[in-house]
Amino acid sequence: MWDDEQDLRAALQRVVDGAAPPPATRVEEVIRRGRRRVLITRIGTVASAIVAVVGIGVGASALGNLGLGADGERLPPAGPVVSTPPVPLPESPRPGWSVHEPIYVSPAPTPRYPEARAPVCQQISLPVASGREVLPEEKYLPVLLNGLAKHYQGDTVQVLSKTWVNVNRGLAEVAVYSKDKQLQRTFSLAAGRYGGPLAQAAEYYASAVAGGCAQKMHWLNLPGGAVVQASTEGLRVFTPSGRWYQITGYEMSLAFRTTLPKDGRKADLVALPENVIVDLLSNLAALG
Amino acid sequence: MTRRDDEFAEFFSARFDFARRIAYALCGNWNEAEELAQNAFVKVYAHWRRVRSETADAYLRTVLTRTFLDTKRRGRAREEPTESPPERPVVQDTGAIEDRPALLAALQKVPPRQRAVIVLRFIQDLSVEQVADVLGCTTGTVKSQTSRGLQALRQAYGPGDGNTPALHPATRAGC
Repeated sequence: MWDDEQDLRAALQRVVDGAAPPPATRVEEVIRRGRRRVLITRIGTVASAIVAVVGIGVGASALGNLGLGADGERLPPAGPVVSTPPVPLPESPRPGWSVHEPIYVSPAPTPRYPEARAPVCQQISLPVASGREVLPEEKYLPVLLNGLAKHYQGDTVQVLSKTWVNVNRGLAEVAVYSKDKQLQRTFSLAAGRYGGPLAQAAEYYASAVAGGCAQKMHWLNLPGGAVVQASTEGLRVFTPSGRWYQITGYEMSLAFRTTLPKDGRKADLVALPENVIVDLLSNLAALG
Repeated sequence: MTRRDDEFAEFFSARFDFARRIAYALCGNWNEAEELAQNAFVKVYAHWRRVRSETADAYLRTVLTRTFLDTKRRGRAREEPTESPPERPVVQDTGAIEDRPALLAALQKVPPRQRAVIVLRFIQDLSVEQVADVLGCTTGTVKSQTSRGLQALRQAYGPGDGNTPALHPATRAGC
């Protein structure tokens, strides 16, 4: 038997450290099930909320002036909850860009659950992140802000949020308001690091937006060996040192805040200028 | 795939195998361990927005353990006796060269909650306070469950001479 707890600990750890069959679970399957779980939870929440809202609405109607401000005018709607519109990937690459076909592909696995309808395709694995740690936001945020100030001279640049999560991830969101306050551009920056060759990481992230299936992408080679990658998710730059930066965002008119559209339409979102994002990413990549 | 999915996929690829091995210690069966780990990750995904990177490991650990205990409570899977016990060589010092199948089978004989405590304390190397946090109980309960669990494990694994297995019949436990 075991002489002490240390012996027992070692014995038990050897039980789980032994040879194991390869995992059959794919992340896409987990995400699909997770989304369904979230949906079911939300349906329950919405049903509860409807009951509450109806109660509140009845109460508010009884008090009158529902939805009216102190001066009797209808209040402008709250800002929309928006998501970044995907940047379409054109068939032919932009001038100066090249088409990159995936090379780090592994054969399609045999589906364990055929009924799961998970995509069976060539996949790309991503080695554990081993590149240089994500820089402190004091390093990369000024680069982003300076770049935005250069492109949108005279406009107001405002940091909406900044979160340096850990050495693997840093996030920031910056808004640029036009001089006449009628236009808002929102830039979302994500900083991260990767493991393995640059091309493998680029191929992995491009495949991640395609349900885990390898896909072609457009590349722009920068001085110093960095590569800007265009996929359906947007633009991302990879540095040879093992870091990456991604910028997504949208441009939105703020006119709807002061005039309520009668037809109930929402504010139009426009993709950000690609040349601006590429320039910002190039500046970030130059940090090394 | 969104950025959220991106981050989750990164976490999944780094932690799934470890979670599956812990589940294997709890279940004693690779298929059910895979299912348990998968269910735990589904639950983690559903709360991914609230799970910070720093606490993701602890959250996964809690979800995995509680999912295991919930499944046990619901009685979806019962322990089924098998016809023959696992073969086990005669050993002099089982502390160093114990028979893994026999030890695993003995672990499955330990009641689920005590088994979870043993796995958390001795395989995952958590402190008494951390285990109490995972299981939502007091440190006193963790200590008593540890003591009882170890007693049950020693009893199931064999008498003090370390020669004769006391696993008749052996169990094929399921989550």
